[in-house]
Amino acid sequence: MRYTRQRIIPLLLILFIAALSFVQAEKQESRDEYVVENFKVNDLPHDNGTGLVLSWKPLDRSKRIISYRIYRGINPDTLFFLSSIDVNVKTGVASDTMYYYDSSWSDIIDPTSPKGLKAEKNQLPGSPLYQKMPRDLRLVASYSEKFTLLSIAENKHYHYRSKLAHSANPDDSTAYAGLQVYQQTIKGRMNAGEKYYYTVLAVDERGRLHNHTGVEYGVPMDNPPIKAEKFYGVKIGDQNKLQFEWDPPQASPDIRSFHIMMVPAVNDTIWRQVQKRGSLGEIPAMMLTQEAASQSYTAIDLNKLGELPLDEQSRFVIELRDAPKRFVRTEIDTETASKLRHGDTAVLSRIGDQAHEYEAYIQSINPISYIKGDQKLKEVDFFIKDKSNTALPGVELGITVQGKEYAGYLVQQPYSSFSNQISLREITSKELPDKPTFKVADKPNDKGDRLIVTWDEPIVFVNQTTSLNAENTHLRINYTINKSETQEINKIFFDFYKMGEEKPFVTINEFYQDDKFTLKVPEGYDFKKGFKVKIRTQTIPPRANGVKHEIEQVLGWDKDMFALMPTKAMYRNGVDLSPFLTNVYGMSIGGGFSNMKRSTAYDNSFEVPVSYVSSSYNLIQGFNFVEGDSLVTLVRGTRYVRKLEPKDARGAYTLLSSEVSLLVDLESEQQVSTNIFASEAIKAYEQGLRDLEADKQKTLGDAEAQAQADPEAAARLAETKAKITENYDKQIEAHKNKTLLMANKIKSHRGRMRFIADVSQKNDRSYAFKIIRTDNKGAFIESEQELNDKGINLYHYPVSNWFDRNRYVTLFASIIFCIMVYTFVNLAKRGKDLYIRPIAGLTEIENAVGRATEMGRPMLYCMGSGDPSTVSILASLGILSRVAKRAAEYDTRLIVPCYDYLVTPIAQEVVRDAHYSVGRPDTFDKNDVYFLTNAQFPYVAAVNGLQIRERMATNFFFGAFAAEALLMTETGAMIGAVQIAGSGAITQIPFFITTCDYTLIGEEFYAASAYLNPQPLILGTLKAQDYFKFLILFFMITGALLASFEATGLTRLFPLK
Amino acid sequence: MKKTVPLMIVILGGLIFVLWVFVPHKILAEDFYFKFFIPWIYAMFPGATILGIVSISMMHKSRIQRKAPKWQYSFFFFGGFIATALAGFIGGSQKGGLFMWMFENMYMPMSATMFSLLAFYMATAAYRAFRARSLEATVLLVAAVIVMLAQVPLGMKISKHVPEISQWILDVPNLASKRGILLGIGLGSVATSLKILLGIERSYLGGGD
Repeated sequence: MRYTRQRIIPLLLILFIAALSFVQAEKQESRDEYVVENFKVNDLPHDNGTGLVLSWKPLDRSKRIISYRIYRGINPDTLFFLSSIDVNVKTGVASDTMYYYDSSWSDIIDPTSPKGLKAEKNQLPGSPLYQKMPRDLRLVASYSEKFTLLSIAENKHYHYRSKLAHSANPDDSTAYAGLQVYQQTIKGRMNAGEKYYYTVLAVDERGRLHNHTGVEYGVPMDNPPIKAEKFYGVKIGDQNKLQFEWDPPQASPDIRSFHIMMVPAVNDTIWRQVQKRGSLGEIPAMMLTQEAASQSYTAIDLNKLGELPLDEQSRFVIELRDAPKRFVRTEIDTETASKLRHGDTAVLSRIGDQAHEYEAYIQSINPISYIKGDQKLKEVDFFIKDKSNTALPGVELGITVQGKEYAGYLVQQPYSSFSNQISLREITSKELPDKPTFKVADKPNDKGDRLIVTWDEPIVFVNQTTSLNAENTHLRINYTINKSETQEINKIFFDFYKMGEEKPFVTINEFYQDDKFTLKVPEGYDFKKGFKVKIRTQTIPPRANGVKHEIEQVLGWDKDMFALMPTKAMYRNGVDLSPFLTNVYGMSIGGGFSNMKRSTAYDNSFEVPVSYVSSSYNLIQGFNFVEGDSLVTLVRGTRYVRKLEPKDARGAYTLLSSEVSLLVDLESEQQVSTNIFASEAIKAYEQGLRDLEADKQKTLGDAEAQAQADPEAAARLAETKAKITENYDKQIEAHKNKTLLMANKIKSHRGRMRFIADVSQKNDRSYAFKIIRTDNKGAFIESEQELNDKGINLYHYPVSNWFDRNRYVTLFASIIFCIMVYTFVNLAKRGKDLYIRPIAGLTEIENAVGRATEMGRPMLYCMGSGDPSTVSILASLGILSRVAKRAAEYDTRLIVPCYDYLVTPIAQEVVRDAHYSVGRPDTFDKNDVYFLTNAQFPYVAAVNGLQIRERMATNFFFGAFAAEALLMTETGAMIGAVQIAGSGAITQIPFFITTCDYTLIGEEFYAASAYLNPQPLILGTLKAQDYFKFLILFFMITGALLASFEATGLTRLFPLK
Repeated sequence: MKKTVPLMIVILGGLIFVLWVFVPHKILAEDFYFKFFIPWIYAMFPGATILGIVSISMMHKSRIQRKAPKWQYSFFFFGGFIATALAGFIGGSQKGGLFMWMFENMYMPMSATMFSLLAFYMATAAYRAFRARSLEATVLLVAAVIVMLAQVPLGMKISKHVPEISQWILDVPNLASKRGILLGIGLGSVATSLKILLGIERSYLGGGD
């Protein structure tokens, strides 16, 4: 067959198409290889119905994956980027399954969110994936149906810039604070029972996003809490007291109460069934205590409770209950509704896995009506009377049936978990740890965001030893001092004992505490037998007479470490501290105590961070938009529209509560709130007063009416009325809170909000504390609670300090230095001849410039890698000014390549002025002083290239240098340039000395400017500097001498940092 | 006036920072420093970057115009600058883009090459420094040999005292002189700062007086 053009062209075309198809197919195949497998979305166990767990099989290490990106949406067609998990590209993922927990609050929109909808890169057409959710409040509003949305706004926005907004819902007259999208970050939390869609994709090391896996959905469900682990109980026989302790489960954030019960011992199989169903069923239980608290210990006084019928079969369990289920709608038949009376109780409990599978029954004063969810029911609205958004047990609720309101209580059933059954350990009070005492102090010298809780004397202990020679005759002993900033130690005494002896063979006095000392092993003693060491401290101020504080440790031979090491036990005043932990509990005003820190016996203090509140967290109540001449409000999917009024803010706003907490009145324990908007605050205040007065009159009227009907009530009428009056007067008095009235009097919005912020800051940042010392197995003891004069919890508030007392010496030294400068400047001005020793490097500058002039070659002036805030650069600019003047006088070219773009214009100005000042403006070339780069090694490359190309005669290196110093100066040395260098970087000075002809070491560099321009003012500072050095030397020598004689007062004066 | 205003700004700014050192109060530590000063510094960067770009571009333009020695290299500057800027502006600076590819495959290796030269330069510098031309240089040589030997097992093999002597050299004479220099540097930098703060040293403003 002949290969003609007519045949070759179609053949080539076919081959080309085939090759193209092959490449495409391979590309497609390769894309498919990068899709993750086994992607699943499951409910997160033990949580409060807000979490899902995603799992998938990670791709093989050979795929070079750097991260997995996760997308989430409320429908399968639109999924937004949620988060990514980074992976080590070299090691890959070791396990077979990767997990991502989508729980708690996650970002919906933040400042980095795009303005508009942006499809994800590198995806196939029709892909449902998008980058982060755009800053579009309408889109966010659509998410409010499935998410609980939280707005986080800086106080400057929420307090000062939010707009007064009202809902378009005619039934809602609430004044909301409206914030625009750019003023806040919005986070979302999933709601139990809703569907959420997910997918995941892999990103390789080239940054390519591969195809996503199939879209899966999950439904978060509220689950029973995880059972309490490590549940222990003790009976303290001599105190007739039971104590229980447990580890609170971290995976269940919504535990609200604990219940400790005594049950008869049952076999494990039955108990596992109890634990599985979360109910005791037929097992009889005796409730010992129940508390709505988050603490993880409790004590029961049997003298108060009564003697327990304890026998061998008695077991104890703890039941943890979570928060009751969320408020839901259900339906009720008309017949039942007609029977509802004031005081009825509505009970809801879930009967299935789905959110809507609830049963409701009404506990009525009539025979109990029981309604199951499968009956044909009519709608009932449960509403909360105090308008809070959370349904809590005991919160008064109303029930509306067919437009008619009924008062009642909504009691929702919480989930429970039961611990394993335990028996009690019998102990006596002597086995309990010492009762801890503690002090709370403001952390000194800070900006007011720390409190220090100190519960013990300073603790000093040996942490390791090292043999200093082969004969093991000398050991280095390292010790640790644990003390708070409010404690001070003067001396530490270490008494060393040979094992089995009661008399110390040496006492070491650590008056200068450098965390180590040398111990001479007694002759003939085998050091491997170990030592006993007793540690005593002398504090400032000294302890009261008779107060003993002695730490004892045993140093034993550790065959793994080949050294003498402290054993686990550490005794204080004869009591082994090692089994005990110290727990610090803290409580803010209006809150409850919670564990802040768990410390070992080695610690004696805890710094509590109390940060300033700079952001406001508010649940989003709805969204306002303007459409034409209408105001649209969206509240969880319901749309309200009304005509726009002049008072309405234009634009898109999130609606937040405008109520802000002002303070908690400690005496009445009442939360005092106010409104961001003064007019609303005053209105609410006056309305509150009127309501209280009206309630008071109504209650008095009711009492009188009851008295008329009931003779017994009539007899008590005066007493009843007095009680009612007293009760309401207290409430009215509390309502007329002085701080609130002061806030309401302030006219300007800014001033008022600043006042409110100051008051609430103090309220929010005050804490009360208590300490629990425990063996973590029930043998615990609680510190006394700190109370003020009125018997109320004592709260502590950190204070912002105006002076750092650690810097007194620095301040005095600076003042003395200033006085010295002033004195010597005046002396110099009066004509006193101030001698300055000659420095070779500086006198050679003239010669170096002259050499360059004679050779007709340029000079290089390099300031290194610093910015104008570096003192070395400022000193260097001073030297540059003198060098540039000489260069201009001799008409020698000076090239100044700059590392920093802020230094460049300053250097240009300095060189230009130098040329002008010697009358040679024509010789100034701006292009000789230029910015090069602010990358270290490219700068080196450019300067080295410049040196070689221009064949520099003289190089000046004055400024801030790092690793680039040697690279540049060595090149200069190779081309034979005269080099003069100076720097404040001590690590680079050796390199300068080896490669440069002259080097200004340390202070010589900073003094250079004065040498080159010997004016009285500058010479004066130089002389003052010299004399100040004498002063420093005096203190150094005196301090060393005094410290050698155990007088450490002077050294203590100087802070370490 | 041309120098008085900048001088006043320097003195005022300097005094605020002197206060900042002594006053830990929230107003200075947080409100001034983190909420005002740091954002202000960030706001200044873009303007300063433009200054730098203009400066280096003008220098290279002048080199090309003057046909200065090796002026052809200046085209590489413009080429590299434009290519990198375009890669960053068009493709973004994230991983996977051309900009990051250039950074990882061009800039990083070249930068590492420059850094690796340091080892060879150190050797030549050490050779120059350690030549026993005088008594001081001999002392330096001996000290250096001991310290270097102590870093390798051979030192211990020669004598068990080599590491001890090395440690003594580092802990006593070396540390003493280092601290002396540090003291001078600290005092010098305080004095320089004070001179600037009090307006005694004005040469950094240009003109020198």
